[in-house]
Amino acid sequence: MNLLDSFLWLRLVQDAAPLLPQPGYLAVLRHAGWALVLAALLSAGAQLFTARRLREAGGMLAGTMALWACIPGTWGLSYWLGLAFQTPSLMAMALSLHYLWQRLAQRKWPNTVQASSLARSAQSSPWPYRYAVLGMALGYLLLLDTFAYLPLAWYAWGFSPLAYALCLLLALAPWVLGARWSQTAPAPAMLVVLAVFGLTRWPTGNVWDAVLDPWLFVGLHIYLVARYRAQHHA
Amino acid sequence: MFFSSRLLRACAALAIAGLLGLADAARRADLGPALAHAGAQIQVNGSAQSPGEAPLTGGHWERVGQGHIPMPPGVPAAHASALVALPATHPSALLAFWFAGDRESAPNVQIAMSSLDRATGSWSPARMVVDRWEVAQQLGFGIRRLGNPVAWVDGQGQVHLFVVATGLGGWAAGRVLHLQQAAPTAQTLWAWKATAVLPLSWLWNTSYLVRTAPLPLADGGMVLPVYFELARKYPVALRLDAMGALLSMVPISTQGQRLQPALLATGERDWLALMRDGGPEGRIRMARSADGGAHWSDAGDLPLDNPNASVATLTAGDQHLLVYNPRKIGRNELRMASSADGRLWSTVLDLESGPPGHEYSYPAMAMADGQLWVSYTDQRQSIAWQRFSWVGASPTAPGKESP
Repeated sequence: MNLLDSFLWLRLVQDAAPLLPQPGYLAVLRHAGWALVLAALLSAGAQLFTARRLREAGGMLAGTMALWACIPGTWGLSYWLGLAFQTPSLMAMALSLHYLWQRLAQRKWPNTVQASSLARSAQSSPWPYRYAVLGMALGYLLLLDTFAYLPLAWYAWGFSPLAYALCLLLALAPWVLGARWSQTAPAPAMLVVLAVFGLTRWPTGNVWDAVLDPWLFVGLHIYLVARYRAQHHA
Repeated sequence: MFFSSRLLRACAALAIAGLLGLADAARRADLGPALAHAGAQIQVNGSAQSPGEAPLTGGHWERVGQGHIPMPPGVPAAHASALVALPATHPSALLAFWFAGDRESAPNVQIAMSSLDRATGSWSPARMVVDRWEVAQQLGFGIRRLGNPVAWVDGQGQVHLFVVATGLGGWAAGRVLHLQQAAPTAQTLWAWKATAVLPLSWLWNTSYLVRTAPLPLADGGMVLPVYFELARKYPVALRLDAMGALLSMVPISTQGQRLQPALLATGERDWLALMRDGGPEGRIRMARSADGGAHWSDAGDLPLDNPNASVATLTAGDQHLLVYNPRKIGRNELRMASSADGRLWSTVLDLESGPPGHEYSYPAMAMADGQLWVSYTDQRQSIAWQRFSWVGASPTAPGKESP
């Protein structure tokens, strides 16, 4: 029995002690996280305006809010956002960074073939839709678990190495099924997120907190409704 | 060819995920089998002691002192005290913590602390030791209110403090804040630093609160009872290791009205959780674990009335003690009861009995130097204490090691 207990794989399937993040860099992560998320949200919101001046004003507001979120202490925005919502998930940060990079690329190099083809292939790919549905299902599971409506402690399971391995498998699914690299978004972002989580345990040591937060869960609903409407209006 | 290529990639993905999962598992502490608590012995007053040792027979608890813990100067309100016994080598025998300020949930509420001097037997003047602004600065995000404290001494003799700290909202937006002594010496008893907020919920980590005392384990770790209270109320048992690191969380009951579980070890693997109930029946609810806290199931009600108020439990020798409000309505009476099995309780004595509208509530218990200490909220204005000695033919005093 002692020999069996010493096998690592047993720790995969049995209870395993959570690995929690070192508290030292969590404040920096919170500042950076809220700065990225706010910049992406406001920048995306600004694109809804048709007037160029309003779009530019929205962009400036996004930059200002991001800077505001970086200020430490009670004068900083992330201090108060952290009070209510703690730290955004790594996935929300990665998607925000990806969006901001895309915006920057479109602005700097508007006519490059690569940028437009990437955007087109991402729109037609089924993978963002599949991951959004998966994320939404995960969110509902976590929500039911939060209110103790599930027979098993789903959130607590997020501390185990098995949940981490499962997320890795899901992130590798497009590659297994032979999807083109350009069409697999957001799987590459998820792989990066899981790599960062594996090294740092940010933000809480629980893999569900790394891949999905409640605001991202809300965002997935909006994305799926928008996609549904776009497909049925097309 | 197409399928074999997919099969190969699937095998590669499984291998990558498996290897990284194993690498992740290798970095973790070896918890052993799922029965994380199994075999752990109950610790009373710093010495590992199985239930059944130090039997308390042929005697009774006699009140040998009572009074009030000094309040911080000019502070009108106090509630939810917690007691913790310090190792015998420490000049203080007990520490008491409670929240104090203008009123419950007031912006100026802080955590107050007083220590019981082992030599003189007197309580020190109370001092505010946890301030929400200071803690928020240490953590890097805001805290709206401070609430119930719970204290614990780890395997190295360092004192840990778990405090309810709310986010956006009332108590239902509570989080469990973990603080430790800035340095584990008698001189720095008053200095605390926030180490983390325990990650317990996906929903912005909100609505977990702490109130009742931990169950110490012989491995130096403990089980910290917490509860969720946003819309539905349910209790959860957290396992922490000897350094205070979170090891596991297991729901105690999912009935939806039960909170503030007080843990009792009736055997090495047989544990009970006695819970305050928010329902109309006015009873103390019970859950049981037969495997050292790995799994819990509801175990009916105790035949004791309770007005939806917090209870405290303690095991002294082979005797289980319970302090609770014994009426369906009103917290104006406070009673101590004892039991051999945790299910059938007999009254030891009434600690307080006041007119309707008075409040004696939120009890805490600890054993120090062979004596039983009970603290509780007195009229929401101060923290009262009572001290008891076991008088009788017991071969060993409670809390002392068997010969």
